[in-house]
Amino acid sequence: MPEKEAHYGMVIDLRRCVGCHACTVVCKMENSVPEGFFRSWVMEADKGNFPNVTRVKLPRLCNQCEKAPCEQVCPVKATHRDEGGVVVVDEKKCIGCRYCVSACTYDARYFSPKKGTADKCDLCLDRVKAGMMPACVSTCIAHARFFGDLNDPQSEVSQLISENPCQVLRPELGTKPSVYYIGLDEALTGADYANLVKGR
Amino acid sequence: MGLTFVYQVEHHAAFGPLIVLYFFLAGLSAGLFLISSLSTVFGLQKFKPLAKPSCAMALATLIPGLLALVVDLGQPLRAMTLFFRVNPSSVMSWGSFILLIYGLACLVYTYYLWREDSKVKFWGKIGAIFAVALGLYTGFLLAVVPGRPLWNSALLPVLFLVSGWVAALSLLSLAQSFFAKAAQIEGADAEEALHGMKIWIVTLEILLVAFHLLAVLMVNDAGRAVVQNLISGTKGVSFMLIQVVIGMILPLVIVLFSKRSVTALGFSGLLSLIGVFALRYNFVFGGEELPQAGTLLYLFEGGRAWILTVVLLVVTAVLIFLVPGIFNSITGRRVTGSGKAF
Repeated sequence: MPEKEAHYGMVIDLRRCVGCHACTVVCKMENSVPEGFFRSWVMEADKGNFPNVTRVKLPRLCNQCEKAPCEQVCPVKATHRDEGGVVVVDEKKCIGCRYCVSACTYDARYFSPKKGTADKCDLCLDRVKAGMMPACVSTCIAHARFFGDLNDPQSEVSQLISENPCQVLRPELGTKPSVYYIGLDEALTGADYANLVKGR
Repeated sequence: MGLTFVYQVEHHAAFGPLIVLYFFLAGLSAGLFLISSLSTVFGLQKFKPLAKPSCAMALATLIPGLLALVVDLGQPLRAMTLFFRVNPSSVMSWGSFILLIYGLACLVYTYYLWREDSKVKFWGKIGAIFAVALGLYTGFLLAVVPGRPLWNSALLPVLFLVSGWVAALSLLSLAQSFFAKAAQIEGADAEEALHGMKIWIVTLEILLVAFHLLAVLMVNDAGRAVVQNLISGTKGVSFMLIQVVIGMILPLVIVLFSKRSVTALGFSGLLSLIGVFALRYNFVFGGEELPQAGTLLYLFEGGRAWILTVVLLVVTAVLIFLVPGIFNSITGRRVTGSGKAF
């Protein structure tokens, strides 16, 4: 049987996540993400009524959708696939129209005022190509993040997905995310319209 | 079950005021072109006096619309790459070709109309098809974006086309009432036609908004939230007061009870133009404002883009006065000639 092409993905075991935000910080440093924008971030909420409460967490990043709306809407094909099917933005082609930013159903994209183009998480592809792990995976103090080839049945990520109940975000949209969560809490998967607040 | 978000990130909205302005001007231009083609292509003689002024205005509104689109880009110098790096699955890619063909057809059509050449009919047909496509496209661009209930409807393109038509009728009435000489629309005796048509088109616009919002309201939780935000949330004033009361109901009432006075028609036109701009604003901003996760509304970048929007609106006003004169001097003819060609 011919070997399948690599399909990079991530598994995040939320039972291990402590909500330290080290992934957020290291991502900013590794990728020089401008102030006010994030390629990787963590949502946290307190759930329940005292004394029966718990803190739920959800580290976020680009879901590397197999059917990515951002790739579909890009008018100049600046958003394309690199090694392992990772969705990347070609900074030399992007015209900065921000159609992809509005199309992303995971808020994973932003318009970089510094570059004048769209920007997003690329699973630290430069590091991966050099044989390292994405920065957020390397830095995670609780070993909650796993990176690997979803097409390789022997990879750590494939085994975790096989052996644990896993969820993806907003599966109803059919985007087929490549980021899987173990122990995802429903409270963080959608918006809470009853308590909307205006930002800055 | 109690739930308190303790940490979440504020996301930045993708589209700002320049996109609102572009949608407004593109719809306006498409509507004006269609009004111009009513006599030249569809043979409705009632609208013949408006053929020249409205196609000149179609050009005058299209140019700043295109400028708004280009200056809004993060890399304006790469705008031309839209025409050779085509992505067939991107609606914006289609839009750039619709705009290109419409713009060229509009230019050639206006030239032949001024020359009173019989080729005007052919270019009028091409232009009319692409004017409809342009009017629909601005809504379609938003309609295909997933996960935004206010946008995800096939009614949105129709609403944008119809409200563009309302804006076009309104601009013509406004020009006729308050600056007929400057806009070279003097003696264009078409109040009757404008008056009758406006009542029907504004009614259609109100019905489209109502049915669209009712469907969005009932379809799911996110839809209910986005409609509530328009009615009583952050967009309450711009939607309920400016768009609906000042921009839709009041102009309709004025037109219905004005006994066909030109001044009343012009005043109603001004209010309708404000209403259509507010509609574009409410649909673009209101549609992308609600979060997809958590509780924080999206952030909108302000200042500079709003200043540019105002500047481009002034440019539009100046061009409305200049374009007829430019065609007069190119072709050596006056705008209100008795066209024999059609």
